Amino acid sequence: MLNVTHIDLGGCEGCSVALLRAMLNAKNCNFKSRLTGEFDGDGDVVMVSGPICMNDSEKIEMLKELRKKAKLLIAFGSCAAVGGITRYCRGGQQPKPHHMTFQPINAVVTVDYAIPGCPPSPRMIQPFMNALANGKQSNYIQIFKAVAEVKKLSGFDLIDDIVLQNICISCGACVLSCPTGAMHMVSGKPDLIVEKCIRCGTCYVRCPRASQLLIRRYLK
Amino acid sequence: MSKSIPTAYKEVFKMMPSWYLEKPLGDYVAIYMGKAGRKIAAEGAAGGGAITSFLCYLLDNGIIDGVVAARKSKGLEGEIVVARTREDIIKSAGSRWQVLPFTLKLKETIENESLRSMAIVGLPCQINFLRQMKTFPLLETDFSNKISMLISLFCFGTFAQESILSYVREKYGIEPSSIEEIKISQKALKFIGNKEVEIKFDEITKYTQVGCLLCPDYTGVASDISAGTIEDKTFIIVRNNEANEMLKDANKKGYIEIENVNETEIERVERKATEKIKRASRYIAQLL
Repeated sequence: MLNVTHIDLGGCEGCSVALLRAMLNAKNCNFKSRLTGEFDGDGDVVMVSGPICMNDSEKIEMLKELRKKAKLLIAFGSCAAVGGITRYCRGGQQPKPHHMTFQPINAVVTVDYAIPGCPPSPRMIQPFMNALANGKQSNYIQIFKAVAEVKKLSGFDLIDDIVLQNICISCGACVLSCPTGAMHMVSGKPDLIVEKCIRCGTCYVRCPRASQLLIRRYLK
Repeated sequence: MSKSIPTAYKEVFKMMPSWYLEKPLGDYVAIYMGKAGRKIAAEGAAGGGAITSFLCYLLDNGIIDGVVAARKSKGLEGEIVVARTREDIIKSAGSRWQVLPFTLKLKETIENESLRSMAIVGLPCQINFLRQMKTFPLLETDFSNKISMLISLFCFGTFAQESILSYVREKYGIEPSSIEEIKISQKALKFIGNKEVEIKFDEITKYTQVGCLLCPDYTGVASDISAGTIEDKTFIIVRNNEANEMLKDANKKGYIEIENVNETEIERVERKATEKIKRASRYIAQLL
């Protein structure tokens, strides 16, 4: 039985809703969420959704505290994992964020697994928990482990690391996995419509080459 | 480059997941040699191999209601086909060997076609990400629950389309637009266009896509069933018990004929798989 605690640092609440939906029917999991008022800040597994606001010292302290208590800290969703769409926050309403105000949580604490996705589908949570519970390190789990080491993943990186380096094999994984349709094929290779990319990182972890290189680069 | 490549290559080779080294074919429950059974051959469909016939079995018995596969439309161009009946599959039987990986359209095809359960035939890279999609669906729109069987074809790399086409035009005078068909045999590619030319693989392997040189997966370890042609038969690797039961049932009902494989054949495929793993480690070492 895993004790899972969820805490949301802000954002659109898509990740919170995905977690709540999955956890209602979760097997082998004791699920608590601050959203449902049962939060006590501990548990074997702490899942954090939403980015960390670098101007909010209270939240930063809380995150550090969580890291001390948690056996496993999981960044759930693109904002917590790699920054996501909050990387585009500029000015506007109070607190008038700057370019660098919102960061993925691994800018502050060490993260064990980071799950990109905007939001990750509820259907992926049970298999993920099962994998954590039985401790089997499959190739796909390792990808999430490797993502915890990086602070950015996006269509831009996919183009830079894979397509422009000519190691793209035109398999179409990125086009299939992009939630906003930012990836499209031009002359048989993927190209990015920059205005549409929300920096969620889904294309990067789905690309057979990019995910393979992620693991080789960041996991020993 | 500060690191000498041989050292780095050894390091990367060590970093490969253990199955790469111990089990170059991945996990499997059984290996067979197969060919199309009497039931399919009797219908006059000479083209289909074991996988084509097996797909017919899956459709006929209602295990799946569609097959998504790539076929050659013209020359090196590929297109997606959704076969819903046995006739469709047999008609596209020539698509067993696909030169280019298929892309795009898979999503729309699946969403539009109102399929509930389907088999996908693809290359190891595609099977890899489809399996990832099935295990951990990151998006609500992932159609993972519709995929009930993933069939991978053996792959030693695909060609960079433009370079190979300009090569055959320069050297052999085959106009890319005239290419009707490309036939693959054990040792050579046969281009049929304004001319008919047979080109040995050794001559054109340098036109392999760079990305394929990094790929360590020869058989498609994430699939349910992997298949590749050896001489005129199909080498079938079955990776789970459900698939194995289906295959045995198809054999009993006369769709396919399977027989056990001797060790030397398995070793031959293992050697080829190990060769691809070594090649991949060498190239990844250069890149990291």
